[in-house]
Amino acid sequence: MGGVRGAEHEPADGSFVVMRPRSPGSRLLAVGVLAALICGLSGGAAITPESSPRTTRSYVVTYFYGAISPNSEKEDCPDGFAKQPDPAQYYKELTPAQLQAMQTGTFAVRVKFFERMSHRGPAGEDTCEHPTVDPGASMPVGRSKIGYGLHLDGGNASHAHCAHDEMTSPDGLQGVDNQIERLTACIRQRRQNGFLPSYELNKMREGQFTLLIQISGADNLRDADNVEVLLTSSPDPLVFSTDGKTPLEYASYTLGDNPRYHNVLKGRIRGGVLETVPNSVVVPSNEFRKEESFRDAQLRLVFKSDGTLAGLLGGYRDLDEFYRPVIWGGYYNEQYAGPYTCPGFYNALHALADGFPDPKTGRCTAISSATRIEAIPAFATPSARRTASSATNRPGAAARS
Amino acid sequence: MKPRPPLRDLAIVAAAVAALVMAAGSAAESLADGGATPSIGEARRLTDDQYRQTIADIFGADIKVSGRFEPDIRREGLLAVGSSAVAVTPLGAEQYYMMAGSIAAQVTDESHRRALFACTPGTPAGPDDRCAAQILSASGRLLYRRPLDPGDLRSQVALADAVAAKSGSFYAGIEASLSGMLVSPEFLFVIERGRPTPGEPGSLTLDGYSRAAELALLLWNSAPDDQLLAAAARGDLGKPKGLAAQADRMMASPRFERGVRAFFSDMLGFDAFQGLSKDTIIYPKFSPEVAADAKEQTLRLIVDQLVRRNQDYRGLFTTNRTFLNRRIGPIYRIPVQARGGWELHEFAPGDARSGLLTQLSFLVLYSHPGRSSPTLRGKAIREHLLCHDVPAPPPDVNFAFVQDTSNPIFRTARQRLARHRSNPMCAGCHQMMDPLGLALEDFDSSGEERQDENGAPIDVSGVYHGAVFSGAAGLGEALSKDPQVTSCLVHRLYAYGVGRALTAADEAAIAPLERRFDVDGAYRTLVRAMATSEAFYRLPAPDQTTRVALQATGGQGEGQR
Repeated sequence: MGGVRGAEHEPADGSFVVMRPRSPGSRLLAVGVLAALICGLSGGAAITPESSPRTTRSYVVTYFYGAISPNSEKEDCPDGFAKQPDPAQYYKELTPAQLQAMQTGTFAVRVKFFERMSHRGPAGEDTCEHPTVDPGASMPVGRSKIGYGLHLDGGNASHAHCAHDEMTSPDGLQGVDNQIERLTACIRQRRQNGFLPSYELNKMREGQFTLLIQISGADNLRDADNVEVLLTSSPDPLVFSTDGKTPLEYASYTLGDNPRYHNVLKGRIRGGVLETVPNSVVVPSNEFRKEESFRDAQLRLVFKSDGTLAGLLGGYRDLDEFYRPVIWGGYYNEQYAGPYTCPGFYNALHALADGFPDPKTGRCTAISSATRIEAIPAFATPSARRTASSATNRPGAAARS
Repeated sequence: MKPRPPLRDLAIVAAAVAALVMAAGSAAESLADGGATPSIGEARRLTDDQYRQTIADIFGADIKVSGRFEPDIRREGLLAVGSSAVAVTPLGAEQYYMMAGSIAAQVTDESHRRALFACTPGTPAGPDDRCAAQILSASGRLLYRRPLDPGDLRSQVALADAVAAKSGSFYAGIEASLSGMLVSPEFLFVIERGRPTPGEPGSLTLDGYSRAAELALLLWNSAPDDQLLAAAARGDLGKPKGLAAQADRMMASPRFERGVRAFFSDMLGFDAFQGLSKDTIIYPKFSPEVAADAKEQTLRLIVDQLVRRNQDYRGLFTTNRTFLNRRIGPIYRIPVQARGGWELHEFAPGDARSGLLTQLSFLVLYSHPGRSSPTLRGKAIREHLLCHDVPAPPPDVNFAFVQDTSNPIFRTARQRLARHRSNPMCAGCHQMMDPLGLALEDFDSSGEERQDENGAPIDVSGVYHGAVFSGAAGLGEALSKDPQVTSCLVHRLYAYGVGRALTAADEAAIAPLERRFDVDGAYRTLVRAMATSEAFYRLPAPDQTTRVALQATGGQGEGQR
């Protein structure tokens, strides 16, 4: 099946039939045609399989994490990196005996003290839970003009926005809106070689959540109008090859039943690149984030010649939702997923916010973001419950349900 | 902690192991003595599966059997035939003993004894002749596939009593006796016993209990149950009506599918799955779990075709049906809805996959770890499905050219094998094997479909009996029309049933079965006809020496024990 991109099938009558050209006699011809197609493509971006508008291609997401700055530390952070609070602040309320217990006690004892370490407010408030107690706190943010992302506040944007500096993507896309990248660029553990990206990705690989992408309505992957994209969840964990690390192509995943994660996006394909128009997106996430929501979200995905998908999900993140895991992480995040201080992070987040201003205050309530996506061909199958429902007993229902 | 019987181990075991090794050795010698000609008194060592099934059927599926079995030997294309040519080594006997001890301990533990034993002792702290005899005669009858001789039973009860008295535990005594039975040759070997065929002087036929054992192995791959032994005791298995009644009962049982699986596992060489491995760098989708699923997939298909739907055996070569689970779905690149099990899949018309030859089991088993092998696949078709003999390669052949998959000029296996066949010493055999295997070259060593090999297109065309075909579907179609395919199945099943190489007398009995099977390919009908045929239980003309020895030890009819 060389040359197949995405796991193609035509959902019909609730069953899946794989689209595969099969006549052994025509196999040599098919290989020749395929080779000619591949050679004729510019840039090796996308190739055109035999398919019909009813063909649905399914993918499972293997990478889903905020796009990380492509710039050097010096380019991003000429003012230096964010820092955790002065250790003296942590310990100022502890008695010598408590300090001793903290250094020599069991893990459980030490945790109790750690939990108090974010209680640094003037009245002993938890400064992660109540970051506004320190309005003067700050932290360095990214200064580079280069960053990954999409032009979110262009003609299709449904919202007003706050002043911000747009960036240019490494591949030349102008007007990139990704203030989250600026927010995190100067936090060491959130950069490319930091601890947090791989830690959180592992949560997905462990099976805490799985995302599926189904693309329908495209009779080819080079140019197509009226394409529909379903971004949804699956209760099945990622399937890996025997090395235990490489996600396996063409594995089957059950479509999730939760309508909250049933995101349908409309778009088109031009030059092997799928772009969708803005819409709201909510996806499940790991134990820390629970779920992630994106307003005015857009997908920009490239159909690669190896059959995989790669690109970005751009959209505006609600400030409170984005900050919530910071509260949960408290001191641990400040130290291990930072360094930063909760009030400094909070204030920078709000200062960089660039979307959906509050009509009353004029302050933006959301911040632009870009999440990097990689996906490989897979099969998305309806759950037993869906198969049993009458709604699926019609052509195409499985792809849309 | 339950007290362990202190006595039984050394004395009993040493004696049992010695007896086992000697008995097994003489059973093997009786065959070796006669060369390829089988004789009466075949002693077929239980295979790994038969041992496990027997224990599960007698004592329950929750009894764990842990240990290593000695390897079986394939003769005449079947392990079942080889089972009458194997002995037990001292190391193997030790393994049997360890398994026996573990099984006996489980059977007599508190959680099992109430369900398994029909009586409880007067006191659990010592001997109880009556209850011990009841338990041991019931268990022994099932384990030995015949009632225990009065002398055997007395010995077993005496042993149980002695251990119970010494250890202060009735069940320790039972455990000791059961343990001894489980290493007895009467359990580990299915020993055929003949008697004169009524009205046919000079001819021997199996006695009732031997018939029961043979039926149970053929139909269930296990030991006779209580009903079958009772029928043997009544002499029913010597009468056409009684034999048919038992065959029908057994074929209606869910255990029959197990018997079908056992036969085809043997015929298709599935024992080779045990050592199967692939280069996972080249084939990342392959794993030991996938290998196990590949075997299961084919056995499911066979049961579906031959048992549940009672379809023509030849349809196995052309069917568009298969069964998939999510572990092997990625290799097929087919969606699988069932999250935790198997589901039926029907290939669309024109799909490259069709029938048995494109099952993962066949493709992965008959390939090398890092590349496909038209030669191995062709050889397997010849040997397993057509019953042809393919000679082993000469010892001094250089395979380096064939194995060089990176050759920039000879990029496909077809090209490399064509060059290899230019050596006259190789051409003869490869001409038999390669054309068949080359039809499957669009499937790699992991069973995944491919369109090219090293960038070169794959030619899957071939010629079979003068007719041109293309690919696995074409080859499957051609095989399904070849009478040798049905003839091979009938011969293999018969040899599997009798557990020995076939004789001229067997051929005469097979001929009508073969003719009938060629009409409709109905496997159930074939098995029933075989199981209810008198000829099936006829012993081959015996070697005089062996006959005398066996008549002295066991040539008694049913109802006499």
